[in-house]
Amino acid sequence: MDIKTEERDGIVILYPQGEIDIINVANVKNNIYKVIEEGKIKIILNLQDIMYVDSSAVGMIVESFFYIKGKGGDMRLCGLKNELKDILSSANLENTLHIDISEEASFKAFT
Amino acid sequence: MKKYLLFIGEPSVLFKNTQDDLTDTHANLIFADNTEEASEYIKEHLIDIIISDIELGQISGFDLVKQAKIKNPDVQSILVTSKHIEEYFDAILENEIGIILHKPVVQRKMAGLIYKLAAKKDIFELGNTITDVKIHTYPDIKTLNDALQFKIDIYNKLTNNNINQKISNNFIFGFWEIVLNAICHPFGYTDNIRTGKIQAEDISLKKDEIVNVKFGENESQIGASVTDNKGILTKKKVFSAFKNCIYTEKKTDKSNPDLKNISSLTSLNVPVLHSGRGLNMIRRLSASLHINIKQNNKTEVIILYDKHVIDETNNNTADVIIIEA
Repeated sequence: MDIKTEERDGIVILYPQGEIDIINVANVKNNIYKVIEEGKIKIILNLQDIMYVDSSAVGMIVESFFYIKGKGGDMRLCGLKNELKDILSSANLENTLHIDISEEASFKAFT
Repeated sequence: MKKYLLFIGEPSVLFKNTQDDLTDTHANLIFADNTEEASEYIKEHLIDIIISDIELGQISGFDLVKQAKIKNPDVQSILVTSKHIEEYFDAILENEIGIILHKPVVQRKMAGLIYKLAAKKDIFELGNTITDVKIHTYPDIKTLNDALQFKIDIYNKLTNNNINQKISNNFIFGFWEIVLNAICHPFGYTDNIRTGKIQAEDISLKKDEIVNVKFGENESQIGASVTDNKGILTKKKVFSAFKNCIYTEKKTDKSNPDLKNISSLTSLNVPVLHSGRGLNMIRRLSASLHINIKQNNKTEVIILYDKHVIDETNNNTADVIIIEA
């Protein structure tokens, strides 16, 4: 999966597309970790084009979140469709992750 | 030898005057009106199955199971509650409870479970789990691509039957999780995928590795069963995984003051962060989760979802039913 990436004011925004599941989860994770390893530790994961995730994707998001927190940064999620909200809610992740209603809200939270 | 089944609380009220559904158990049925009476029966008889409320007043259903274990360490139990199962994981694990049902209890469903436990018959198969079910059986899965095709087929079935989008999505999520679990965990592929030694799409099950899938529906429910021929799960492992998930969620909750110090999370290594999450998510999204196990022989995981009941709250009221043959 090619992930479109933008950078604004030191904040990297990633736009994965389609599905994130066990088949491509490593690819998405590598993209996130690559950004972090470049020293960019403010990330917005915009999930507006994600139709489906499985539990391995949920695990990857949590793992990435704690990895970047460990580096002193943050990863915010936005653009979640209702289906995705249900899935994350079933893992109680709204209590753990930083989930915003829009990309702009994520951006504001960083600045 | 006839088995002794002890009913207390709501199950006692439910079955005391209508015992027809229990005839096939060929058991001695004892109906206690209160916990004192139940304790007396437990002292006098070797009880095989306790069917009880969890909340009984001063003592709990767990306490009665504990008492019964003194005479019969293999006592089995079906406990019912109107509270969230998550409040009870410690006691469930400690007392090795296999079946937790949420109120209101459906008499016919409970009678079916009592029969399975008492007679140790008809434990497996989707057709023995929901009534009047139309079943579609798929060929054995050999590759992940097979499973993907089945997933698409089931999704199309749900769409063609006008199943609500939210229910369809949650069902497909649950289906895919139990398929992946069945393909990866019993045959040792999980760690190799996690560490990148193999790609999930490259998995091709060996001749002796069998995973099969069934989809079924009746008037009110849709369900799927996924069976592997390994049988490595136990109810202890399943409830430990649930407990681990709840523990991790509490530890990583934003309101947890310890979370200010991120280093406190270093103990949450990757396997801990992932362990059991998929199954726990299914438990929260489905109407009931059944796990039937014949140790070292086969595991069948069945998920059932209500066709027409849309739970906007993800209210955690799924029944959990684990039967070890």
